Amino acid sequence: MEKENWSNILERVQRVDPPPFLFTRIEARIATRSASRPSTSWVTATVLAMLLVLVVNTVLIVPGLKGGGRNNAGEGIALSMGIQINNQLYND
Amino acid sequence: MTEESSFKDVYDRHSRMVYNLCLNYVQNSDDAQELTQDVFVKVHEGFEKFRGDAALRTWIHRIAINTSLDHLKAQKRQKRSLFSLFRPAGHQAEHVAASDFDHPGVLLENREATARIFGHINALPAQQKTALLMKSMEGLSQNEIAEVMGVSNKAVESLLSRARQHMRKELGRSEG
Repeated sequence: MEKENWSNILERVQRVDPPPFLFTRIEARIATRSASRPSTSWVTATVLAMLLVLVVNTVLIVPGLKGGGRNNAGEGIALSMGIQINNQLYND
Repeated sequence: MTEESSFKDVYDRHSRMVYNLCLNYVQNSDDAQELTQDVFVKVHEGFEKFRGDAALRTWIHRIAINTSLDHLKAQKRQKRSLFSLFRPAGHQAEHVAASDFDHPGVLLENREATARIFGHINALPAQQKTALLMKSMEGLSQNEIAEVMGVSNKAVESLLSRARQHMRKELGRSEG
């Protein structure tokens, strides 16, 4: 093979037509992809549900944090059961 | 015109170009068919945005090139992990091209010589390979190559010059 002959050999490579069934295959692939993709309404519903859970949690937790510290509920229970809530060993 | 019929038009106008481009990158008809499908699935996802025919052609060219290069990268990675125990990495490109060569556009009497040339083209860096294939096989002008590759005219000139130099050197070496 001559040194510069390679470009002539490449020029001799013929252009070919794609197989006739290729477009049908592409259409099938597009159809499969769009079927497996979740619909917009499902995505919206999931996002809304997660937002709702987040809001409900925030509404329930934030007032508890604001109202006098986080041990309030625990302290109330301990007092009602006569359990000490400090490290004192003896009652004065 | 409905969306599906206009997609069919796009396919009819560009499928030959895409298939041959992929074929020149991978030199295997089965792989080229798979890649052509990948390219048109991507085109279907975004072709609504494109109105001008010139822009659409350039865009499809880019998709075809990137899809082919990604495929070759994945293939190389796969074969490297398979062959790394037995042979040094530098010799893989030629080996792969020669063994999988199945280009329906190559006449039987030219098969061996063309496979050897493609083996050397496959060893080129991706940008040089793209510039060379666009010029030698697709017949694109330097301006068109620059537009498709998103680089300057000068850069294309340099890529082509280095690619040709590499080919001359490698083919000279294999001859001698």
